Amino acid sequence: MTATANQRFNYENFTPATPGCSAVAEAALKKIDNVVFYINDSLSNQDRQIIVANRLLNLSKDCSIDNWDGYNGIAISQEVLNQTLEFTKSLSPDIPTPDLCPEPDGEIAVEWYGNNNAIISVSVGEKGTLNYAAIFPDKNKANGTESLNGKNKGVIEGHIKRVLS
Amino acid sequence: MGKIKELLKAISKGCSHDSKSYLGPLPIAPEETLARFLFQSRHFSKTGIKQAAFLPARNMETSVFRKTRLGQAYSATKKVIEDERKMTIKAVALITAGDVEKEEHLVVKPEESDHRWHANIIGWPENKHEQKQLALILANCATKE
Repeated sequence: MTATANQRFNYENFTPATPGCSAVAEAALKKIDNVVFYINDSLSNQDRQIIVANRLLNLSKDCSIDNWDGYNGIAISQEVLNQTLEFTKSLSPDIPTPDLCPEPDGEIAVEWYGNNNAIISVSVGEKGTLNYAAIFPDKNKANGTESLNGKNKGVIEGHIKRVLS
Repeated sequence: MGKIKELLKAISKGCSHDSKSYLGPLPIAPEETLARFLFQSRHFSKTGIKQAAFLPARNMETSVFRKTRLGQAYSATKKVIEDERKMTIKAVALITAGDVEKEEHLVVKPEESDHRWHANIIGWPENKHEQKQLALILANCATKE
């Protein structure tokens, strides 16, 4: 079987029409379940990466030279594009595709929006620095710095989920 | 065409700016509306303004115009700025000076060396994440024009 990123794995096509009743058949079905879960997750992640890569490509066209914003903004570098792709790739599959926004210092803001004007914006820098700020649905706020390769990156994922809750 | 541009520039600069009666910029009242011209369509959406629109430039200032004070010269000023920068203003973020200054650190300071009724948002913290937090709050207060 071959599956492209745009083809969702169809569970029904791979479930036996007349499931067996033996323990072996049940174990086989459970294995299929696990495989389906894995494939759907990885395809979902792959889908997100394809969308992010497309958005980065368009963004780089608009912001490839200094003063792209009319206020002397620094051009977005290839390294920042790469780091942004790495950051989104590292996120759990259940996190939806983010919006991307160029910033005047040449970094890219990766953003998610929730209800009640909730938002989290994560700036990705050339060296994989992640500066984030968030306003949660309950109007509480958080901000800080993490590293793409750091141990505490889970903090940002937690904040993203809270914004989207 | 050149004369029209000169005229627009004169309007933007303000009649009293070059005259002897010009005593310097007037203080900014909290209820004054400030206009942040946006040349990059990625800095706003259908529904509102994004935080990146307010982040400071390399000089740690965010350039704005005092829309309330510009009055009828507002449109002419926009045209002058577009001509100067050879870029189109895609949208404008509007926010009151009071909404900016209610945030700790931030101050709106008149800066009229090039244009009458121009000002800068200054006082941005050095840390990027703290800048972003303030920019998020400003973006939430702002409306899109």
